Amino acid sequence: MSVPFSNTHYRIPQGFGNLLEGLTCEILREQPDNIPSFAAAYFENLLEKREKTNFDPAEWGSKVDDRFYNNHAFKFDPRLLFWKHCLFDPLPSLQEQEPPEKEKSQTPVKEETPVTALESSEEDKEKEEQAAVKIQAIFRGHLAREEVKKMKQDDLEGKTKENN
Amino acid sequence: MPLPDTMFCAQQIHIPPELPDILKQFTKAAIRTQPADVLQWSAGYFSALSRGDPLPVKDRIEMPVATQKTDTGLTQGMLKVLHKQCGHKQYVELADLEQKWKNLCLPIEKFRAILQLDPCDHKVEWIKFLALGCSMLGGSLNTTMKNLCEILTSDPEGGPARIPFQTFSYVYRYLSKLDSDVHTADTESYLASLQEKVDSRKNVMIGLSDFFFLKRKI
Repeated sequence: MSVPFSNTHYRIPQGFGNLLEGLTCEILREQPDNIPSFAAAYFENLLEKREKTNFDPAEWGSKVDDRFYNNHAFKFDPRLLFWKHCLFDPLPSLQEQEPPEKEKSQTPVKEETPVTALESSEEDKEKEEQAAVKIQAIFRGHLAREEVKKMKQDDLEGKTKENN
Repeated sequence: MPLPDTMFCAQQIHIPPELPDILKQFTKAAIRTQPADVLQWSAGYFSALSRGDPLPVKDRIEMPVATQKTDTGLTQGMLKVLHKQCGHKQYVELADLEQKWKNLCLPIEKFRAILQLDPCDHKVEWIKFLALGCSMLGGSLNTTMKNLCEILTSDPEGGPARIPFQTFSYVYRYLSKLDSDVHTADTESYLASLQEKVDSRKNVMIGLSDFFFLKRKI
């Protein structure tokens, strides 16, 4: 975590925490005899991967940090998307509720909620579908009522105008 | 101890006794060196560590002094790191040097530019490369020599930065020979005047104060 408050204090390089975490995980998992050479191989591997796929774990980590500190991500709530789908799609199929690919790569942490929902069993899916239908019904009812209200008001206004 | 197949709690994880220290030193090195490309630098750090070579780590943190215009990533601190890694050999393999250069996240174009000043194949005399690198830091021949002294010296930082006069004159001759504007006679007379100063001392060392005078603004 590099918190850019001051130029004159020691600052941890961008994305370093992420690298350190990954390295520690791998070492604990593999339990190598010679840690330095294992770490060297590990980083060589990551470098190779970066050259091939352009994925830099350090960069990614710093992006996550940046999002945490600058809060861009929390302006967007995946649940909103979910509700929108439920309300306005004629037949909400659950597959479509997965956030689009772009958002997925940018917001890797938060997608947990929708993903777990997707991975649930068929039964849950049915339940969700029913719930979605219910929500739709309620919302449509609400819309209809609003419309009727408006119509009534218009009627009233028209009548008062006529009376005048 | 082989790990059991199922993990039940964190206490089951066996932490190698040397791991915490390795990670701590690694982190301290990263903070001190402030590499531009952490991944590349980490790879270099651990490959040096596993081979027992000197590590690509700055002795102390270096404040970014370069302006945007001159920013190439090459600083005195970077050259010092390279010197620490290569200085024990008289000649360095170019491929090896290039790898070390890359691991410090320095632009490879700069490396090529330095070599173009004095083309050579396969291997380069380290002191010459260092001198050319210092000249890349900008400024006049005098500033170059100042940077070189500060890198080569074994005096503590901020001290007189003394180096053997022999090394000094060797590098000075080399650099002024590359610059066609400077006449050999001028170089020799300058060196001779310095030699007089230095000879009066017991150890034949030349310090910053002998040749580098700050221009005072009035």
